[in-house]
Amino acid sequence: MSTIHSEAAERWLKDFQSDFSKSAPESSWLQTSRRQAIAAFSTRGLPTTRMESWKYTSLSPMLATGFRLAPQVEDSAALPYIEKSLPANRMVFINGRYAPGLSNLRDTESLILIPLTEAISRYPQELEQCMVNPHLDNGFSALNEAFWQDGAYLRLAPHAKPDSPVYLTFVTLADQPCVTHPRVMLFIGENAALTLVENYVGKGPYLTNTQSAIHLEKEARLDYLRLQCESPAAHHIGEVSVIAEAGSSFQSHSIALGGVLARVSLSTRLNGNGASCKLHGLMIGHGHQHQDEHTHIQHAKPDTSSEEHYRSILDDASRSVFCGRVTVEEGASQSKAQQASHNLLLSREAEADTLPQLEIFNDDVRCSHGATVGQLDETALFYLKSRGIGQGEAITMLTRAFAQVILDSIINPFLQEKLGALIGDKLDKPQDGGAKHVFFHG
Amino acid sequence: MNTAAHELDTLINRDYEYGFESDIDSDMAPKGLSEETIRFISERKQEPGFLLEWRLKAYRHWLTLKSPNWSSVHYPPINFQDIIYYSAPKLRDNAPKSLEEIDPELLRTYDKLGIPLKEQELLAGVAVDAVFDSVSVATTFKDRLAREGIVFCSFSEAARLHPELVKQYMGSVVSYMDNFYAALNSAVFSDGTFCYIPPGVKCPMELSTYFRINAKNSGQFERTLIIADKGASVSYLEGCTAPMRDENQLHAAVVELIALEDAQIRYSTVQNWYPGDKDGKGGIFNFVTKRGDCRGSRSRISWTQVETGSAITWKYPSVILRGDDSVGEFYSVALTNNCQQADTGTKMLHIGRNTRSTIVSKGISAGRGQNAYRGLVKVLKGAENARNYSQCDSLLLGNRCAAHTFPYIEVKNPTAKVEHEATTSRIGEDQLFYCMQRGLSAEDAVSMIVNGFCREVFKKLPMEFAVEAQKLLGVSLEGSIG
Amino acid sequence: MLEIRNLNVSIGDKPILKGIDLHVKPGEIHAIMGPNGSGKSTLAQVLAGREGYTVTEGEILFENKNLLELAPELRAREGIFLAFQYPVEIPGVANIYLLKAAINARRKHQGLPELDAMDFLELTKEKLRLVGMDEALLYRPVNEGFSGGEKKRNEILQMALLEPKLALLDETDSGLDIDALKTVSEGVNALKNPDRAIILITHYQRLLDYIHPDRVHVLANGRIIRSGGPELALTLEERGYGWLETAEGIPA
Repeated sequence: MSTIHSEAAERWLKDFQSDFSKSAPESSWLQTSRRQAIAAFSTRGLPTTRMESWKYTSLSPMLATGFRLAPQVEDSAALPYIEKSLPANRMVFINGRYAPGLSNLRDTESLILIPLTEAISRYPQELEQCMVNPHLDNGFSALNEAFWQDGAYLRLAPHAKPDSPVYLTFVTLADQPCVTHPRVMLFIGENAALTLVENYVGKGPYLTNTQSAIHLEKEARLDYLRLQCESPAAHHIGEVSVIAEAGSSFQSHSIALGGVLARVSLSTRLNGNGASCKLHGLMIGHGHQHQDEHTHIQHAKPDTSSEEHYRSILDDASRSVFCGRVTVEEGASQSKAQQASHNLLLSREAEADTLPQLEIFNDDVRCSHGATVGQLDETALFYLKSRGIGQGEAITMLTRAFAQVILDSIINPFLQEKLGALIGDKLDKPQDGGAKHVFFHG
Repeated sequence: MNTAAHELDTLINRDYEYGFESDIDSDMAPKGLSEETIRFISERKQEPGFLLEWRLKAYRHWLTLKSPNWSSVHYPPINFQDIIYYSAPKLRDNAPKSLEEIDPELLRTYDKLGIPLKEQELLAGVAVDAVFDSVSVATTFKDRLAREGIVFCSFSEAARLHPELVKQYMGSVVSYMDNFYAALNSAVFSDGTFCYIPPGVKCPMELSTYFRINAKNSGQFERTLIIADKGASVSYLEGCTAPMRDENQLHAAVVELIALEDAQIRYSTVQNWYPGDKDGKGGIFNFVTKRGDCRGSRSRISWTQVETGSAITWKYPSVILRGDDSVGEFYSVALTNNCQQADTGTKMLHIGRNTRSTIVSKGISAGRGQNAYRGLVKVLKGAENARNYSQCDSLLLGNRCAAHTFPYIEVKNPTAKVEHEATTSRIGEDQLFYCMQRGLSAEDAVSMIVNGFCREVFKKLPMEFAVEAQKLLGVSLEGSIG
Repeated sequence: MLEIRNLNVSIGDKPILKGIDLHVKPGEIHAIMGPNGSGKSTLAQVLAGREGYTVTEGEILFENKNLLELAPELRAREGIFLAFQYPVEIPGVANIYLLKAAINARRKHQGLPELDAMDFLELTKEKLRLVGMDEALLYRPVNEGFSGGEKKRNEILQMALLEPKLALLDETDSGLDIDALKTVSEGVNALKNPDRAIILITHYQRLLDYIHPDRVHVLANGRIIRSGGPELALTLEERGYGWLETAEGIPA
């Protein structure tokens, strides 16, 4: 590790430890878990570009910032950042803490949606099992484990299929550089189905270091929409890990619009026969934005299938990194994997790096991937112009169409429409940060 | 197990055909690596001073490096003090004046390899620079080439006779600081091939070198330098075999190609070093740095490789597309059977405007073979209208092998167009059955389908090589269907 | 020439053929008709030796040899040819290469010398005319990018070259327009001879307008439920398979 990394890691640890205050006394296993995580962070430190999986994303500029744990702020300060009419099933977190006044909880027999702190007192044994001896891949997950303050806990009973989506909104308001460590835990019961939206917004310079753990039981289905609309000065590090049991299906849309530097790692383990996933992603970059999406799909059992489709649209001096790894394990016969990465460069200063990767340990599979980097299709542009459409408008049309391909696969029509409008805004008026990028802004 | 699987298993167990050992007196350096070893080599080769200096710089740099561990291959640590860095056949006189003077045992060795020099000289019209262990023992057709102004000789000879060319170009594509094995090679390289094609000359015949590792515990560190001056063109063939041994042997070569304006270099390799036995004992570690530099506008460098041998193959023949409108190509077939591992691919570095590159990689994994394609396509800011197309296909035969694809695509210019496609599959049962219904044996059917899979690459090989490559593929595949 | 006795075949646990008896003499043309899923293609596949089918009972004799003991390629070399319903694509392998390899495998088996390139090419060109196929297709990869009609013609071309004793044509008419059907049929008719038997497997009668069978068998639910002369096919065309199945007490 470089000096700057180890110095930052030390300083962060010291500062976070002194800032950390518990709202209530914690059970001894939880204290143990936090201690283990701190120890893990001390050994692992922060990732550097010398590590293969961080080769294209340098944290050096970010590490110069002295982040402190985010302080508590008034709920009302967050109002401009969330929509006026609150849909049902909604949780809002401000600076890492649960905001009951802005939330609309559902706590029924079929759908339990409560803050994580409450879940710990309600289901201590279950959560102890999930949280003790965690598998900490890197410094960021260790930091989250060590310093998380709250998060969302959701459990959907077997066969339950609520009509309306669940919304989790994480707002960070920073005057001084600060950091939050939110957590999300989702358990989707057998043959249950849910649509969930995870949304990140905020103001000022901050770092969101978030972790989501998702478990799909047999035949369960989750449509997961992850919308990263952080403030233009924000950093975002997100980890999502999914375990999909037999016959279940996981569909995700990871939309990265905000932040100056954002990195999302999504790992999906197809853990039972016939499990499947469809991962979609859209990165839009302007200014000096750096969007990094890493995915790893593990085919662990027979008859599993995966489809993956990520796109990036890059203007100004922005940059995107896509690394999609697909592993087909020895026992996963009859598996199918398909992957595509398409990148659109709109400016001379933009850069796209893409690494579609296949690791195959079974001969009875069908896997393919494709990647392209380039500009808008000249012929299409010419065709539009020949029909009397101006250059600028033609470019906008084709750029939107390029993004629309990803949105088309969003099943919920309401979400699809809203997101379409949001992305249209981002493409048209990139420099408006913050409030403009609020999801469902009235 | 079905019939096809059965026959393939029988096939797999066939032995390495080229595993004999020649009984020839060798003049060897003592084991181990030190400045003394390097001085010994340099002195034996009567090298000019600048070369010794360069070797020593490379050695000192090498001492600061650690052996790399980033690829997907696995092997035990190599003891670099346990290798003989110089081994030359002892000749009756100083050097052979003609083929007749060459140790008959040596000639028989070449016969066994299927490349009798005389026959080739007479029939094939191929100029062969045969490298036996570390010293070039015979160069044919020299006169013919000399008339065209072409220099085609051993590296040592070039260092003595054309020091200005060597000094100007050696290390200009692969610096001695490039990587661990390139540094090692730069320090201890014992011989290799040098080729210079003067401006406007089209080399009238295919040039070829056969390398062969013979002496026990000897590493082979050859160095090849090919320069095509303005408007020149050359096609170069390299073929390799090595005897069977239980110990692993190291082969760390460096190949540098330089194409000036409008020049073309086509470099073809059929690599069939000893792969180890079916339990993974023995075999060559083939850690090679190969790079071409399209230095001039409209130049073209094309790598074609058929890799069926070696316990571990680790190489990325690359092209630096510096000149405007230059073209880089990489066509590869890599086959791993039994316990072989291959991590191979290419790097295409687009610097000039309108540069184009094509990558076609066909990986075949059988037995417990591990096959990885690793390739980089990098388009730098100034590379207006750069184009790359990559196609990487993997074929798996049997359920204990593995195939990996790791492309790296980095694009910093919006006018570039980069496309990459990859597939992984196995031989369809319906394809096998179809061929067998037409009367072909399972073995022939597999071999035919695999050859079909590799056709795009074989097409790029010179005719005689393509035939050899197809045969080799059949032999290497033996016993591998599941 | 071909003697099928009480042939029972299943895929996994599922019985497909349930006691087929069929006797084919040299020079005869038999048509096997039947609705989808009746087991027609299974019969063809089993005759050619495809894996994945279990013969649970019965036997198949081909020229008094036990066919079930022979590997698929040996059956082919003995003279059994299957024109596939869905001819397989083999990327990178030139059509002409497969043809040559197949012919020479057969010749070697018969103790004949391999054909040299010139003789082979001449022979192939002659047969190309017979099936009305474009010579360019010889140099393209096997069946890759061929139209439906081209694939079927290619099958008949292979048959013409390999000169089988017993040809099985599995739904060779499917996917062909009327002109293609005519040329393919003419090709087959040209290959009729007193030593060669042909089994046509088809769903529709229309192929039989062009190739006239000596015997027609109706296969339904894994059994031959009716055999007769060419007139049987006409009745089927008129009344459909329903009446037969009802008549035999088998639900349609």
